[in-house]
Amino acid sequence: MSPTANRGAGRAGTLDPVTAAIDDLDEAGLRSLLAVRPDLADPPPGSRSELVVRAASSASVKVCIETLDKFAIQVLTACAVVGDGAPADSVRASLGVDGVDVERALDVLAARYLVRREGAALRLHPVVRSMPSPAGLGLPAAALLAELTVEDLKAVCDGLGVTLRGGERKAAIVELLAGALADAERVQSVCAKAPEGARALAARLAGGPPVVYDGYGLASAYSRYATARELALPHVWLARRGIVVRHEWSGAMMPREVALALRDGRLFASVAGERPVLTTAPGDPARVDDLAQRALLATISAVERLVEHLGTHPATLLKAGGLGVRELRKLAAATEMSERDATLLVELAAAADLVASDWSTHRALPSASSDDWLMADAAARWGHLVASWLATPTFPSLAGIDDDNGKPYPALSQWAPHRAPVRQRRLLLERMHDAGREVEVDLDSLARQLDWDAPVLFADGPATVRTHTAWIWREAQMLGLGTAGALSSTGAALVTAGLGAAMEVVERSAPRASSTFVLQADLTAVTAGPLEAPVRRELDLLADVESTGAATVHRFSEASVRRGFDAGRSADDILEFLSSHGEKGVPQALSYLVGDVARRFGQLRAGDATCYVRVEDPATAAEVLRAKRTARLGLRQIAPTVLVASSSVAAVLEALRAAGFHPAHEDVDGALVTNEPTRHRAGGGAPRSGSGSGSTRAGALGDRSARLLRHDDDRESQIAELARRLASMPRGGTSALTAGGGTFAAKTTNGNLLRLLSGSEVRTEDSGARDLLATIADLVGGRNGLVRPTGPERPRAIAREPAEVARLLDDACENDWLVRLSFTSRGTTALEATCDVLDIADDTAYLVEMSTGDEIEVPLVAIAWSRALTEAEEEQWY
Amino acid sequence: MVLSGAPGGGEQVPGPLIVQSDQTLLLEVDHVAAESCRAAIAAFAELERAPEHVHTYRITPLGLWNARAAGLGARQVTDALRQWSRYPVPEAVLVGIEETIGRYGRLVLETDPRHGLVLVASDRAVLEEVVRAKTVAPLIGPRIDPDTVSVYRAERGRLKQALVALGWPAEDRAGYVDGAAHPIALRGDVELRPYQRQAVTAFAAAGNGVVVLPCGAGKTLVGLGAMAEAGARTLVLVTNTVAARQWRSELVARTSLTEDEIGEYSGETKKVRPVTIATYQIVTSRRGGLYPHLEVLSAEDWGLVVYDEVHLLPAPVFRMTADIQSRRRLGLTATLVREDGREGDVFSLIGPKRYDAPWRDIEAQGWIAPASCTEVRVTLTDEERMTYALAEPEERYHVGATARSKLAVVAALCRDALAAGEPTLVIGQYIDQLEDIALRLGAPVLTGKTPTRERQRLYEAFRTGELRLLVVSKVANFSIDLPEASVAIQVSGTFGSRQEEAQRLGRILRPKADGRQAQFYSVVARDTNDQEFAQRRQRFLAEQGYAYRIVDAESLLA
Repeated sequence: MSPTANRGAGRAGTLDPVTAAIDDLDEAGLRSLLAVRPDLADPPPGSRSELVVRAASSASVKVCIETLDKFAIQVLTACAVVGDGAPADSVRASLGVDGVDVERALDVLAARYLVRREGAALRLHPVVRSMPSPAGLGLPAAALLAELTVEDLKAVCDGLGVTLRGGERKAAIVELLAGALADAERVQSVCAKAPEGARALAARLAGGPPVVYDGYGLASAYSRYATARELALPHVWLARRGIVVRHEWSGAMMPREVALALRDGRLFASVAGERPVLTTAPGDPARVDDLAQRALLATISAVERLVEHLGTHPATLLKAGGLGVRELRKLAAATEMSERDATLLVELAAAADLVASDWSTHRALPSASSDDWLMADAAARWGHLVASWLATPTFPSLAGIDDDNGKPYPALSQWAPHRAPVRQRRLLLERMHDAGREVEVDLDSLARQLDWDAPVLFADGPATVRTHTAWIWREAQMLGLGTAGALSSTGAALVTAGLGAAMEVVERSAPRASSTFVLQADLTAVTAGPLEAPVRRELDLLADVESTGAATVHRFSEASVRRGFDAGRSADDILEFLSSHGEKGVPQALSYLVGDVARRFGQLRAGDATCYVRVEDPATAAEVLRAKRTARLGLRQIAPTVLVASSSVAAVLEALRAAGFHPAHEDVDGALVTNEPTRHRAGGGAPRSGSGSGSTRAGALGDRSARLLRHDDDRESQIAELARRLASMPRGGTSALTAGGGTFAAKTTNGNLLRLLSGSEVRTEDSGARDLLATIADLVGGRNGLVRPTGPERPRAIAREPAEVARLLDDACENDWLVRLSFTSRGTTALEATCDVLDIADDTAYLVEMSTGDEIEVPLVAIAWSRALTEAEEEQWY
Repeated sequence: MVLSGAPGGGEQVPGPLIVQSDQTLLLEVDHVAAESCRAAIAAFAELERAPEHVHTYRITPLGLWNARAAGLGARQVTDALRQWSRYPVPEAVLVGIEETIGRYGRLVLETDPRHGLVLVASDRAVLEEVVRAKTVAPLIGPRIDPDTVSVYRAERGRLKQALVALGWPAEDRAGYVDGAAHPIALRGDVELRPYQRQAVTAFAAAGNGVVVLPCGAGKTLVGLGAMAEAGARTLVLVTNTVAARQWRSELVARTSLTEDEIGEYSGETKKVRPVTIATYQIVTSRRGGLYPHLEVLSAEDWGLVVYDEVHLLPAPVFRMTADIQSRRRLGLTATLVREDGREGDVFSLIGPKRYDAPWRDIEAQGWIAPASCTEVRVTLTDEERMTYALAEPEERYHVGATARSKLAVVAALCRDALAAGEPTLVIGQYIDQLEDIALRLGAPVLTGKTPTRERQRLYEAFRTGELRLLVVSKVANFSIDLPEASVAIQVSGTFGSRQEEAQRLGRILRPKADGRQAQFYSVVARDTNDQEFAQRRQRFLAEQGYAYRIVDAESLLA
């Protein structure tokens, strides 16, 4: 026994005969199998068993079926209908055609191992065997009827007029009924007697698909309690007679035998034995080449415009991705195309990876690879577009077509990849090539032929065969592969000799890109035909496009030439470029223009800086620039005594100070900005007064003046209130007030009250009185409203000697300290007061008594002692 | 071949024309077939630019309707393009041409024996469209039948204007009234040049329209020829009094008309005679909201109205012209460019362009003097630059244009010109500047303030050679015949007016006895808006093929 037979015998129990046959193939057999089912070899299977598994898979069978023509598919379907193991004759019978064609089709199927001849019998590939609803037929009656209960079956027997002897088992009833339904005449006569609706339904189901989904009435279809109305329903009427059988509860299926009976025993209404021929008219290859050539060039330049435009005006993507109608409309207008063309070209450009969605900015932009494409010559550009188109697993023409909801599919939305279009394109181009270039093929007839040649392939996609054909042909026309019902010589070269050969054809026929243009005195540059990409780019930089078409007209202007300077060209660069590419030399007006712009370019210069540093002399500037500590500031010298820095003013000042300089901070007017140390205060508030930075000071002052005004307004009533409260206080309370200096009598008359209380050394145990004092202090301070100065540290000691007193008062005057002093007024009364020192002259102190605001003159000799107020004390006066 | 980029195949000689999708035509002038191609396309496309190598023509609706009015069909136009085009003509252009031409003549103005003036449509939908237009409705009377609507006779012009604006120009077949006959003949010794003869014939066949000829090409003679053809009472509208006098002397010298048959209707005298010459100024002068002089003149039974310098036609004259659509009308101009963009009104009211000849062609034939144009760039002194920089924006042009640095340049140019014996004109915009120059050069200055008598005396002295240098303001822009002037120095212009520049160049284009070249200098202050405006002004002449040479004042003075 041969090893092969052994292996086959060993597997016979697990493998179906067709798969087993593949497993048993010798080398020649494998070669021919792989030739007709190339998908099995791609990628190459790692082992024989992998090949067998793949060949047995439904995916591979599907690919294989896509390559079958309509007749072969009908034969395969017939095989599936007659079932595994049936004789080939039954296939012929079910198709109702003569033998030769069927035999040939069976050979085709056998070569692909979809069927296998075993003598007269045909064995089927398991996937074929389990083909769902072949030829639109339902399950065989026996299988369907087995789903029903005996009661249900009896009802059907009743309806169909099958008499039971009684006592039969279910299987027997099923067999009886199946037999009856297999009787074509009986079925036909039942249907002929059916009411109108039921007859129409039966006819529809017979044509397939064989299922009606209508739950209503079916539940009780076989019940004896069914209402008359239910019984009158078409599907119920048919169900009661077995013409349809309840299937999976919600629906009813027509048994295969019934459908065949209603089709007069024929599987197909028409057997597609004849391949449709193409309708053709005499063509004009020269004209086709001419038109195709124009279309090709137009498409290249349109894609170029599109890419260039998106580079400067990126289009906004829809939320869900893709370009919507509005963006496409704008794009079409900007690139001078129809919306429909623009949409298709966006898709082609996307397929060629020239345009892509940028998700970070949510815009459609040229891809990085577009730069290489833009720089390439016409043939290379075209080659890239065509190769991408052939390989793209999408339907580019789908964009812009309305979907089921009536909304157009957006362009650039990355449809799920689909295998069919790639194969559809190839097949269509091949068929066009087969038709020859001397004829003009009618597109409808082409669609009909493609529908026969590869019906599964061409129906695979979002539209009909006809639409798919039209789409592909339009795309091919745009790419210059053909037009007017024939392939161009470029298209023919692509089919017969491949892309490289086709690109050569393009290269030969496309206008050679030139590197020169004609410059004229009216400041225009005229280029006939395309310009080499680098030259064109440079010219686009230096001049504005005024007119496009077969020729391009550029116009130079001051602004456009300046653009060149902005991009780093010098006048010499520009003139050199113009004279080396300008065919007739550079007109004087143009060289003057360039010279003019060069002269004026950069007369003004602007740059970024965060702050500036002005210095007195260049030497200081040099010193600053060399100082180590200023290195981080990004200082640059822009004039002998002006530096700019990229750091903030604060950082610059700090660094300069650290480097030992003494910078001043100036504002926009050149005035000094003073900056005093912050004085912190409890309670989270800012100092109530003081000289902070300009703005805060102004703010605080505004605040304060508001407060003062309010106090002014309220003063009278407050004083009245105060007086009232004071008056109502028990005497004892008032007597508790004692003056620290001991020099004032606790006078209680209202007239003297303020003055008396203003002595700071008032103590009180009475909280009400304390509040009162605070209020008084506030009022009094408010009236004076002096701005409080700060300065060097104030002395703590009390001055008693006249010289000391004089020095203290001098310092106080200088630094605006308030002082407390005790003096003898007019030689009689010793008084103590807090004063502001105005001046010291001729041994006399000129003072303002803070509590009254009175100006007083006190001879220095009359002053017993004096001390400066602490800051905290002073606070109360402001 | 000049232009590179041979089309595919390349066996046959590529044509000289490139048809662009934006309706422009690029004509390669050095091509062997350029002349025949030019002749073919000039009939329907307007010459837009004529620089040295590639001329640009534009296909416009007005141009196509002009061609259609002259009897050209869409087929002939598209065939011409196909014949001469180097590359396949864009389909959209061909379709556009057919559509545009097809719009002309679907509506026809006719005189109906029973209903008078009627508008007849060969396309009912078009008629329905236009009668509903707001601009047309008030101009038409009752509907006569589905295809005919009556038109108020007085609204003939306005209706045509409105229809052009709507894009459905009407063909005017309503004819003309002959007006009161008045025989006029050219004198026996007057011979029209070939192009003048063609212009007269083209006009006479149509009865209305515009003849475009360069300055100095003898437009007046075309006017006289047209008057002789019409043989009727004629109204001539001119730009100013001096031009009126010149027309008058031309008429006396070259036609059978006598002094008595010619009336001048201007600010100075107001005589209506069989041939009356009126200035635009007088017909547009208003009193109490009325145009009294316009009414006087409109009331006459003219057989022909001649519009000199039709591109300057003021709006009230358009209005009057709309009223006299049944009279023959001839427009004369050097350029159809109107700074106010009312070319459409000229088309609908005066008539389509009937004759046009490129300047350079006529120059080549020796009928106008060859001219060289030079732009002299003067660098301002620092002080002047500062003055310019500090000037109010609206003053800037004045400050730049009248910069004193120009004086030395003008003086140098005049000195050279006079040394060579060239009669020289200094032309400018600003009187103060002109007076400065006149004072410095010791030459008389002629401005709008100069009395007519004095003007004529100066012109006469200049013509006889007694005076070699004349400083003139813009009063001399138009219609002044100074045949001997061979050097013009422009010191300042009216901002960017293109037609002014053309007119000024025209001053020196009369052919010289010895055939020498005319010189046109434009003195421009560098780095000011004077330079910008100068460039704009030059565009028209650059487009006509006059390339400006640029010279630095420094090199001139050195």
